[in-house]
Amino acid sequence: MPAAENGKGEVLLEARRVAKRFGGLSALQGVDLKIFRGEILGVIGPNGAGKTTLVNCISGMDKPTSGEILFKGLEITKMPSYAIGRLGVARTFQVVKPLKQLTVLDNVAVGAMFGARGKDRSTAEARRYAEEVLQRVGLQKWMTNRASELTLTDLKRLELAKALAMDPELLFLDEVMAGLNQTEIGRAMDLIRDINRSGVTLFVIEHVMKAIMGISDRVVVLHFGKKIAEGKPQEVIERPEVIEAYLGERFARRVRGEGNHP
Amino acid sequence: MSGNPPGNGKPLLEVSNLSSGYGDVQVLWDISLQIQQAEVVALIGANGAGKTTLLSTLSQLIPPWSGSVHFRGRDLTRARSDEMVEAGFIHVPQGRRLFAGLSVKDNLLQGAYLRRDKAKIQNTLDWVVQTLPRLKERLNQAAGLLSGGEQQMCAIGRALMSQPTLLAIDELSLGLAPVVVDNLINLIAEINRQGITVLLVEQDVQVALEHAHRGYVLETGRVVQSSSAAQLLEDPRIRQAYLGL
Repeated sequence: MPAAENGKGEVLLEARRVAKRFGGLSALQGVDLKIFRGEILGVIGPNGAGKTTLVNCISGMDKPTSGEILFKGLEITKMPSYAIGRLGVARTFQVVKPLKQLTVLDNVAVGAMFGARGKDRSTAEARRYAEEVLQRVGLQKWMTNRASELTLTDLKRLELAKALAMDPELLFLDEVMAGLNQTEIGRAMDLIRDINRSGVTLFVIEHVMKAIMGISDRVVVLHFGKKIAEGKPQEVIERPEVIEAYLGERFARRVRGEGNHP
Repeated sequence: MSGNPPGNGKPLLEVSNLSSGYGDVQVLWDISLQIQQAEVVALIGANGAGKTTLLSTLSQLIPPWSGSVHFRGRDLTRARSDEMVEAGFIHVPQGRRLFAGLSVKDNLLQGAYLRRDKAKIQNTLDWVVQTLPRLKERLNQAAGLLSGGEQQMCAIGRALMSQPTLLAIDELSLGLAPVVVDNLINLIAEINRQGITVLLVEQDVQVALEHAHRGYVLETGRVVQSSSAAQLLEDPRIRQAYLGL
């Protein structure tokens, strides 16, 4: 992703001094962030660092206390989430939010109807498109099941399918790999690269370091609501403040490929 | 972790030919396993292999269809889930399952609900928040306002509040920063040294096996292998299937 690396790519989304307070708690303390078109931006940080809050503010689920957010140059800070969805921004939820009583197919069809191209689709077309998306994420065999019957990992897949069906230009993935084993993580990484190659810009929150290191063009580190590091994955994870706040020594050795391998 | 666990004689948990499932769908087939007092045992297998169903059957969230479960020498095959808790079998469920509207403190205290030594509960609470300091900062907040990873910490803290004899953890690392996983794994080693037995389901198989005495491998609802954690780590099939090596 040379566009993002040299910083000259088109800015798809910009967050300027975004702050969010919940009562006495400052979840975000003036975060500046640019997402370049076509990149995969990895976001890491300790639990409670503000990663999900940042996604909530950008996707309109929550409103920042101050600061502004621009998508393709258009200010979206105060827009409702459905309008932001129509513009081409989609997200998944870490704590999954399926429509439990609907079938897996209809969950995804809802995404297909409320996304960037949703207005042009009939219900039947939305269902047909949903089927394609389910194939893509490997959930087609559960199509007619109710969402409430899925396992947690399949619910994570459903989150991804719902968001993909919205035809996003910018897609936020909030811990979609949690609970996958190493083999499944490999497959999920392939899927994410494939989504990216199809033209979708990605913002990926993930604690699975193998995945973050393997797919991200750039990595941003949040800590106590502030950006403490930003850069290429290998550079970022070498920084002492990142190791101390987030990675820990053991995992730092592991991602460097030293020791701990039997 | 190396060396033999300090257990002797009769297993703490003895599961024989256990089967269960959901509705008409059988998920577990003839599961037999033994866990000795003070062992750390890892349960590994692909998603859909039945790991969560096994933990839920052991904790009686879903009833066994056949077979038997003996815990601390008692036949608990037909026990209720609260009786399992009272017996000291504590299940940390996948996906936290906190009471979102209750404060973090009240969620933690739920773990002590069945304890009779009410006077000592505060000591345990002090220990838990000292061990998981992020919870201390958030003690009076609603659990629903915690970040995903903090919710996981709260779920583990709640389990510790019951002073488990056997702690069965489904997906320890789910949603947690690597440094937190590291701390929790060290914590588990620590509580294990105090004599608490641990049954660990963990997708990071390497982390799980490095800290376990033994492991069982589940495939499509059956135990297909069981041996020492060190042997499993060396096993080429395990390395390929679960470690991605």
